[in-house]
Amino acid sequence: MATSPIVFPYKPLAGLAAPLIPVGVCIGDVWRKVDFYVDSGAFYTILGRGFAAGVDFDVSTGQRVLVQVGDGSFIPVFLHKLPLQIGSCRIEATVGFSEQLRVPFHLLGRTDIFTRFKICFHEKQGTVTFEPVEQPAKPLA
Amino acid sequence: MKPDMIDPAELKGYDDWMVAHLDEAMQQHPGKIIAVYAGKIIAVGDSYKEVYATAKAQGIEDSPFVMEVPRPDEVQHMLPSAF
Repeated sequence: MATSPIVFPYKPLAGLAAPLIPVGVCIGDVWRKVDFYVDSGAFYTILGRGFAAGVDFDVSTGQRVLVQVGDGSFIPVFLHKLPLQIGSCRIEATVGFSEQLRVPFHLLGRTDIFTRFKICFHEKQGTVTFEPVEQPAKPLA
Repeated sequence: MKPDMIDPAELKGYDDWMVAHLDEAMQQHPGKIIAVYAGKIIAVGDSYKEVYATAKAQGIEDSPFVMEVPRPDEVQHMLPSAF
């Protein structure tokens, strides 16, 4: 995996600035390119409403979990392990799918992401930096 | 056979596109799904399926960058950090 930090500028959103980044997600042998909101408060990475249907992906084969959202309610999320690409780094990550996610962004959460990168939000500069973390070598067979 | 990964320069190009054009897209296509390819919006629709189909109909075999364009009022009230 590449080790150089990847710096993403915040994106302008109606007078605000948000840590939106482009990410590759490999689903059914096709690399899809989508935007994610980097959300350190989110446990799971979640692709939101309409996306699974758009790429003809049957989410129901994944593990179903309930995730509590900001208003206290629980939403069903189906978890899958998928290849993700951030910059030049490719990783395997748990990715959830939910039709009930009521924000207009896909969320890049902590599981399998924040263990692979040191992630720094620099609000004053308006950047979010992903620094790949070296993984321990696998023991020889 | 699927490629091992996306050309990182392509992802960088979509990052640059969002910096330069996301605000404009929010004014022109709020609430829509858009597809971006080669630096241009090539499809606007109400679903991911629709914009992927429109891109394919234009002869674009590669998967474009797709995103839901937030509505300005939505952004003010719905920024995440919800979990």
